[in-house]
Amino acid sequence: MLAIQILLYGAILGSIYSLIAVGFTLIFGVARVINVAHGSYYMLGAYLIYTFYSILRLPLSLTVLLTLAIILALAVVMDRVLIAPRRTQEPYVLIITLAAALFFQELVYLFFGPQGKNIPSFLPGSIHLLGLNVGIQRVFIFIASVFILGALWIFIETTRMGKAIRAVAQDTVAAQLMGVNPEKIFALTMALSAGLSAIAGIFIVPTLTVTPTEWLFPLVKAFAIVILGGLGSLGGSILAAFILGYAETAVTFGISSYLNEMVSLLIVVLTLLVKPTGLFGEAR
Amino acid sequence: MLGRDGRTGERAPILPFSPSPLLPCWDMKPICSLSVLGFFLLLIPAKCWGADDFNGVPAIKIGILAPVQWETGQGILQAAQLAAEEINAGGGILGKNLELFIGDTEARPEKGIKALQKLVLDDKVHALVGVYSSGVALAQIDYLSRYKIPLIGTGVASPALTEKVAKNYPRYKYFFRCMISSDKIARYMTSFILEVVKPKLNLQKVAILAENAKWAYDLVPYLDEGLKEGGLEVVFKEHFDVETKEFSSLLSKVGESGAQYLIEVLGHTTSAPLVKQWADLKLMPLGGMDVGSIEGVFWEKTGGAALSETVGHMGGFRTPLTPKTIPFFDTYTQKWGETPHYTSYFTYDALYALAEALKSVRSLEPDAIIKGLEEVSYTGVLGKIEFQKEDHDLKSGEGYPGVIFVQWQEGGKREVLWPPSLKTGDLILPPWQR
Repeated sequence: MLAIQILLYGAILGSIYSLIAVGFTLIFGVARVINVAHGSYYMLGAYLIYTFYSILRLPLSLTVLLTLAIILALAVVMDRVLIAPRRTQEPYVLIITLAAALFFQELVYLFFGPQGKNIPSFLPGSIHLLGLNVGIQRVFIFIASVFILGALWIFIETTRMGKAIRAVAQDTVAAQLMGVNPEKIFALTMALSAGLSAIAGIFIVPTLTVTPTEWLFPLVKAFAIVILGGLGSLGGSILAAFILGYAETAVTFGISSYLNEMVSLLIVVLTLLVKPTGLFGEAR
Repeated sequence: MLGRDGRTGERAPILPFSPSPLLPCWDMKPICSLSVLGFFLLLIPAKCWGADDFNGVPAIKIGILAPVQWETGQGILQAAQLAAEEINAGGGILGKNLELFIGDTEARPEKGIKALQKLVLDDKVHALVGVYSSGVALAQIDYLSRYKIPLIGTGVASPALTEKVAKNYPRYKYFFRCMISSDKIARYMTSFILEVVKPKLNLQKVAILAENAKWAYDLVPYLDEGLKEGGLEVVFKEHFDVETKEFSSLLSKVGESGAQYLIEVLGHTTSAPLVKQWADLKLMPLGGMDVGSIEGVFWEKTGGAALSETVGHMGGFRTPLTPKTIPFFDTYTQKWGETPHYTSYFTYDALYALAEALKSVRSLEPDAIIKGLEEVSYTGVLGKIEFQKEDHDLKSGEGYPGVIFVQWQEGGKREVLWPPSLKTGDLILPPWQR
């Protein structure tokens, strides 16, 4: 019984984490940018959904589209205005994205206050699966995440744009020589990664709550996952996301929910001690 | 509408007259220095009775402490404002108007202390009402004696507060609690469970799920004891972090425990996820203290998943506890566009009780206010408001404020299940158990 619970909940948690981590890896692998505001897209995505769905009462499909459109636009603007001018200076990028993250946090505090918000589930009710009652919303999260990650993989591996992204990730100068505009690719990757993060936020907010400081949690998880999986490796990130998801679920069920946060931090420490480049990372 | 810093008028001057522009110069002629000395001798008695003399002040200033951005904090502020407006409309307190000043505690101890200092030192209030969160009040309580300022705590349940008054009256006499303490809440919960739930469900085993806040830690042992005395077995008991949002694992453990009823003890936790996840897992019936579930919009927030949750309403609900309760409920709802929060009832009555106390002692001296509050007997919206002399806790029992148990039923309607004198409906089971 315990095993089935861990199997099911671990899979759902893992799928949420992979959405967050894949975006983070993408932006790092391609643009060599550590975007501290990555978690902010998650948080803003959730709050935008809350605003459109719970406050303005727009239909669901419209709210999702509007939210994604706004987040994508925001990501591109951030990339062009804040990051692009000094992309190669890592300390600058870290600080400016941190500043952006804090700015969004305070903005949200101003408009929404500190108490957690949540919205009614898109898909209320539960189904009986493998002897357990599971919320339909959660099953949907898992299926949708798999679908989205699959689509992303197809995009990166088979399309021309995807090839361009991989080229820039491998060697920016060589890609330029082959006629690829790296700035365009950076902006596109930023938008993609922000979109994935926002989708994670959109999926989660009906089941949990979102607070203005919620950008930290996805960021810490993303960091842990990306370190475990190896910076720049998409497959590594997905695998690591599920490992983390299962590890946390096992700890929560087996021991106590108190130790949950420790798991991701422990994984970071262990990885850095044993294999610093992560499971599939390339040595830099 | 009160501004963000609560100022609505001028400050009362400390002296009844402006000081002379002539300041003492040490090389003045003897007659000038004598008159200056005389001037200063006159100042001393004026400073002594100036600000605290009922007749010397233009208004009675009350500081309202609350976490302004929280719903419970808004409940305190809105109720205080309503009470002040009504009291002033009725001629104020012996002709003096009430002026409110706001201190934002953010429900954090260090911010609570700063807010208290702002109200006492900058705004120079005569008394304090509010707080919310026992943790904050415990941090503030030592400052009350330092500044000699009375505080009526509303929204603070920890017995530790009134125990301090009892143990060291001279130091902590400034604190009064207008709220039901955790140990009493536990007794009301026990009575409800034994009288209503036990017979209906043939109850033998229960589970307790509590948040890790001070008031909950104080409450659970009393609850445990009471349930055991009533012949029930507590098969699961756990405290979880207030920030928790992912309850599936915890709730699964509860499901495996064999309990027939899940007792919740939630105050600061955002409980909508818990209730939604409880409904998703189709667990045993749920009830207890859930502050988040007191507001009317909780039904919507959970998408109706709150159906059959029984919630203890500390103090109030739209039910005739006294002839004043329902008019207050309706006036408040109309004025603020939302139903009163539990903190609203206590704050409203606290302000009126304070007004009564001031009317009887006719003084703003701290010791006089304390005496007035110890002797006050005011029938408010919750019942009779009286404070115990030895620990300044709110008196409880027949006719005094208590806890009412209300259940979410079909279509978001709420019915009172307990106490029997206010009952409007019977306990229903969750939809998946019928």
